[in-house]
Amino acid sequence: MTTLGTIALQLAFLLALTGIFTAVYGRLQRREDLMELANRVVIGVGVLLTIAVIALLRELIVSNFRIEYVAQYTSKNTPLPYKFTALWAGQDGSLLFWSWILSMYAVVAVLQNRKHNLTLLPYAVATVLTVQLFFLLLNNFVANPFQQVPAGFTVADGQGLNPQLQNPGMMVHPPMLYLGYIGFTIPFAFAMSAMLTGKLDNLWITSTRRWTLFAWLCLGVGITLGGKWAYVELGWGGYWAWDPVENASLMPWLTGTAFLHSVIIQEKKNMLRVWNMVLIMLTFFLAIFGTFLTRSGVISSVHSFTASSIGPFFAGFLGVIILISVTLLIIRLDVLKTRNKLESLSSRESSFLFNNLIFLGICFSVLWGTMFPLVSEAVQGTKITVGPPFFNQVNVPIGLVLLLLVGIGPLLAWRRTSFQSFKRNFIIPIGLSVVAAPVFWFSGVRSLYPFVAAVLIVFVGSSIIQEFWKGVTARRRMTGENPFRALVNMTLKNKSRFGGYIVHLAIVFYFIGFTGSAFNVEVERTVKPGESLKAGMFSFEYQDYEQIRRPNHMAQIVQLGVFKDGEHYGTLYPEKRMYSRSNQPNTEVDIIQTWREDLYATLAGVQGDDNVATVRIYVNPLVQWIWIGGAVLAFGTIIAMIPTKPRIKDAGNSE
Amino acid sequence: MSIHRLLVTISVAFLVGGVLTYPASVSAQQEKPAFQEITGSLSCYCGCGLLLADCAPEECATSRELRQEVRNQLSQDKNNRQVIQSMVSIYGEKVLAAPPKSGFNLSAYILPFVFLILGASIVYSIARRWMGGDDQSGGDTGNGNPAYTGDDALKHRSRIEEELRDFDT
Repeated sequence: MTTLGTIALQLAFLLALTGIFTAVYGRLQRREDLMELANRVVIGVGVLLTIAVIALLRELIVSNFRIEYVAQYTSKNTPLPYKFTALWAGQDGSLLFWSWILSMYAVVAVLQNRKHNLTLLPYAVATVLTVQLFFLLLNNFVANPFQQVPAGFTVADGQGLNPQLQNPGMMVHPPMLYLGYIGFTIPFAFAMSAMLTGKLDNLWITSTRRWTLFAWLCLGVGITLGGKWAYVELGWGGYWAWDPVENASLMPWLTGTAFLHSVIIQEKKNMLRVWNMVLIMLTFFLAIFGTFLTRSGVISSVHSFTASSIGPFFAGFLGVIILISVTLLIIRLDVLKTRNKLESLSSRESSFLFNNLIFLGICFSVLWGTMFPLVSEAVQGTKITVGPPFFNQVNVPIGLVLLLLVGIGPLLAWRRTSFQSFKRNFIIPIGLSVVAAPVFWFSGVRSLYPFVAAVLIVFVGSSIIQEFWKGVTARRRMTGENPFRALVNMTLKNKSRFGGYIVHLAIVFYFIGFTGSAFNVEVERTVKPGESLKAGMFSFEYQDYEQIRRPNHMAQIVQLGVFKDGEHYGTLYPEKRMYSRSNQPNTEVDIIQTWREDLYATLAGVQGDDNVATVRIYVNPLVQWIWIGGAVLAFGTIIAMIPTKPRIKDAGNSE
Repeated sequence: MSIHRLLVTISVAFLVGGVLTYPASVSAQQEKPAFQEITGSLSCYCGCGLLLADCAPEECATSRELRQEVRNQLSQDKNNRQVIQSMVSIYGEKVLAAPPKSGFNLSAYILPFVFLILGASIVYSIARRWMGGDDQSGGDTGNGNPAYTGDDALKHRSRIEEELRDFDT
């Protein structure tokens, strides 16, 4: 299988190279046979990369330690599911995984467009294959996952998977992020094709709308799952540390969100054509830049398990794509420019402009903060740290302005909002916010940001509910349907609009969770069996201790009885594990989760004959709302992605 | 004051006010014990990227060392500010979780807001240009009647209805 995998990778490289020339030459000569050949090359590359992935998976599962990658990331006692996830646990495997996903995306894009999108497809294929070629170059010559251990060297057992990666979340989180990062390649490729062909109308946007939504969805869910993984696995009681690699995933999501909003303006009013081109380019650059940050090691990160000397390749690739795409944009600038017309600043269009600004503002502050240690070292010669206090200080107020816009935008009318319609749409959300403000204040929410966030949550939440309410009421009046049927039918009739509102509701849920973090309580204490400690309204009694040997680790487990107002509330079993192969300690947190708060316990260790335990307890209010937000975001985006039957049959667009 | 001016004023006031009052806001939020507050403003430079308060000492030698030093400094009856200053003098500025707000480091805090203010000015001026300097033409007058009359009214009403149908699909 190793030889098969290696040959498949080499053939895929050659095929991709051929495909680029075939697609470009075919398009230039308008030869449909060559364009179709390029499409088949894409399918061929997909098949070859599938063979390579299956070959590597097989070696991981059978523990073929003659392959360096297998020896480095698995061991004999690595549980089977984690042998499977080892595919993306290290540099070489994850790059192959990346290549494979890209090839699958390309296959789907070709199958989707080969019959009716002959204008844009050839250059889009050439662009995707160019990106593919870069990754195949790495797969073959820089980070070959089939590399054998040196001759005469025998590995009896592998090093095993990093214990922190042995978590169910890691089965889903990295693939989702990859699906997101890589997914933006398709809209980028169609944008490049639009610029190369000069067909700069809305075709490239309508051809890739669902691709963009899908990539954005995967990246958003991937980021949320990453937060969930950090929360349940790393044991520090938080879900977001503003780590450079976390930031790298957030940046393309932010520009992608801006893009999703601004394309609406292009589709409806044929405005912002240059801006949309810039946004999709930026989103793709940031996706590659994120990969560069993850893998180059230029900035220290908790994700250092994938750091290597591969950075210069990504930097070079990034430089080339920026050069080419910016040159194309400059050449096509005159054609892209349209006569933009805005009728009022208090309009939906204008709110989209400002939301774009805020998304880019947050993106810039995250990029600037992430890169500042390097800038500081270059300018001042001193290395400094830019951590959560900086990012929170800069981003929290901007984020709250964004939340305000989430509430205001949908209430503004297209073209112009009159004072009467402003009053009609805003009176209930503003009224509820005014009523909620003193309630929050007197219930103890008195710090500036949590207070403002809480009031805005009421404002935005009620504005979204009001939109649904109005729609359902109007539909019921027209059709006489029951409220639930009216809600479903109204949403399905207007999927992008109401799907978007559901996503806005998800953002409200995220902000509920973020706001809760202002009230976190943390207690660290060393206790003897029978002793208790108090955190917030809860007391935690150290009831029992046991030590257990499991297949690949030894675990110390303490039993903590949780009491509230003297009543038994639940039991927590935090663990401290020592993995046998790597000899690495690892904490396993235990959490009692409710919609109101999480009770989160970690065990630092148990010592002495009297089993004295050092435990850390966190009472984290409202965290669950973040995960609920993730699910709602996925639901809303899927609704928005459901295709709508065209009312009039498209006239086709081939030349 | 027009609606958009009101909204812009609220947003700018909020942004400026928020940034200026942030430290007070955070300190008022919770009176944390000194050790927690200090370790919450220091960074563990082991490579984990976490605050010292969050990096588990049982798994990280750097965290253990830094925490012990904080305890030593606190035992000398120093206040939080003095402890942080001592930590910086021992380990360098990299031990701070955020750049100090002085000298070149100030640009870290200022630049994002400069970007936003410049961006807002650009967006505003572009929007005004697109409006052709005329904020009064057309649109909903709020009483249900369009601002057009005669044939124009009919033409625009049918266009609006057509566009609204498009928005609904």
